[in-house]
Amino acid sequence: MNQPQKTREFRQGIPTPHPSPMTATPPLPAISLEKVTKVYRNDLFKKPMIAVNQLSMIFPAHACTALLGHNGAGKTTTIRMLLGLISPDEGRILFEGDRLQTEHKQFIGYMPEVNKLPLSLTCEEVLRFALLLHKNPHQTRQPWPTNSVDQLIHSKLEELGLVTQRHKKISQLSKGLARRMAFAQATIHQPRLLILDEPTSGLDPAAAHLLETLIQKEKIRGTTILLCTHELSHLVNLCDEVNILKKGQLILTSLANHGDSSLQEGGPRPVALSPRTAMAVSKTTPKDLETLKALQNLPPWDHIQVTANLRPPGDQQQVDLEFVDEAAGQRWLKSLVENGFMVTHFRRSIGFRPDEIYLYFEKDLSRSPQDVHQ
Amino acid sequence: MFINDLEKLWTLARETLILLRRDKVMVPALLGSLLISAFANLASDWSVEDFQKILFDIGYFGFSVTGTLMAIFWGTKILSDSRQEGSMEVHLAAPIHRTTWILGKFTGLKLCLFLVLCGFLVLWQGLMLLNDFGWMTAKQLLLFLFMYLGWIVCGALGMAFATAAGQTTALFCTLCLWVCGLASASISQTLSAETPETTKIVVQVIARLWNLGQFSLIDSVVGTAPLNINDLGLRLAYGVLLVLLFLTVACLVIRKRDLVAAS
Repeated sequence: MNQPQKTREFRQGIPTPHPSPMTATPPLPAISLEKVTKVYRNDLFKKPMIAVNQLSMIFPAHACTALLGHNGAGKTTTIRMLLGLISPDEGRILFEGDRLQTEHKQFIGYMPEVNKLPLSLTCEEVLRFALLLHKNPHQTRQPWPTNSVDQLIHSKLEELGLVTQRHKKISQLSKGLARRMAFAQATIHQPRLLILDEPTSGLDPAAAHLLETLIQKEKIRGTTILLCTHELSHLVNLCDEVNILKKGQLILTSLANHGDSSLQEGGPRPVALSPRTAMAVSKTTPKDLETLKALQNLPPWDHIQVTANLRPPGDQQQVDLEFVDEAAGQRWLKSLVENGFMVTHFRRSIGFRPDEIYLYFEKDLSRSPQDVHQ
Repeated sequence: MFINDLEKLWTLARETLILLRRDKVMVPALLGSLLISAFANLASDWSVEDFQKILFDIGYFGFSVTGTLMAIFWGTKILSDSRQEGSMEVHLAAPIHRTTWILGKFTGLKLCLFLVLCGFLVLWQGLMLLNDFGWMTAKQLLLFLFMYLGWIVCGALGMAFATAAGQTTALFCTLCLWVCGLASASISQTLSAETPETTKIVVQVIARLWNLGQFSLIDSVVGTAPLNINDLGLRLAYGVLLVLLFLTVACLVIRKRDLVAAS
């Protein structure tokens, strides 16, 4: 079997710049699924349930990719297959190009949705055992030296503000602290791929913000992050890419430009994360709005591929317009100024934010994937 | 690779040992064994003859039952709790083979039962000194070591059931089989002449395959039954084979199963 450490050097904490969506070279996928199907046949008297259906997905290295979908969409099943906890009935899962093996899990960190740490162990014990169950990434065939284990535990506890809780049992921790411990347990062995399942679920805003900061730090270190979440703020603050699942199928991916072309055959609707122009027009009068409506018929309106945030003028005092095509935006700006509109600001941003994409496609989640593909 | 797996197995065993040591059942079990010792001592004092036999019969029976129940309870609990709490999911998300995980848990269980055995031995020695029976002989020590083997067999059986079912089901099935194992030999020996031949054969086969009486040397230690090295070797081999069988079943089941935490 190919040793994963041979195919890629371990990061050793050196931040790796995350390639922007504009980068021409596609990033190497950290992990990918190829036409994976999982059917649950647990109940003899019920119909088998297709949890994941011919799912193909890639998670580019050093990026934070969100996995979204309604409850029962197949997110958790997908995560469990990525962790080797359940095996797919069809298809294959590749870790950095090789078929996923137990040894690859050395490079994966996992933080489950709810706290799944043994309640009667202390924080220190949890981290010690978590570390000892992984190989030393710097000397792959050597065990962790005792002093190095102690140092790593101390620095992790310090980083997460848990030093004072060191000898406390997990059962004695508050929910926020327990989530932090789960994060520490998932990251102590310095994984290359971090899988986070609803990391801030049930946390108060301060604790959620702290955890978000910690995830951000991991991202800066260059860790590939797979984030399964329902929090749209995570998509804004953390995620670079977004995949939306429905009934076990991928209905939307922002990875169309990075992936294997075969992934797109009959697959999800690709969303181009290309530059756009946004304008905010204020102090509109009814007459102005009519003019604006008339302007909508101007070319190159058809250049707009995604109109997620376009709100048709109504009674609002402010109208936001967004364009995929920068040149179109410039022409619109000119037209608006010529027609007497007051443009309060005009900005260029790098692409559609993941939360915008999610909200735009939210309506698709209530339709069947086939409808969406049409 | 093998060394690596052994290290992980040892890590899991240590974790399991700590978890079981802190388990709420531990203190009541030790207190229970203390009560059994006290009761055995009182019964021995009140009797008019065979003081040592009564002390051994009651004490051994009490310790054996307490230890076996703990082994069964912990054997099912360590797997069910891991599934229930989800720590199994976290463990197996690490680079651990499922077989290593089962063996690690089993080693932890064995270590914890050994601690319990040590506690029982200390109590027992205290009891013997209290009754002026002196230090334990090698034979008496063997009695406890085979009792420990019986616990391990029951623990492994509990684990095998717990890989396939929830704790309640596993506990129920293991307890039923434990009672069968205790009674099988006696039933086989007391079958009447009118018993149909087929029934006799079935009962005898069951009694040969599943006889927990093999781990009790009480008749040889305080009774008159002979005890030779061949017999001990066979009993030991029987115990080891049963443990291997149950662990193999547990490993096969867990390798095939989709591991989904109950929560």
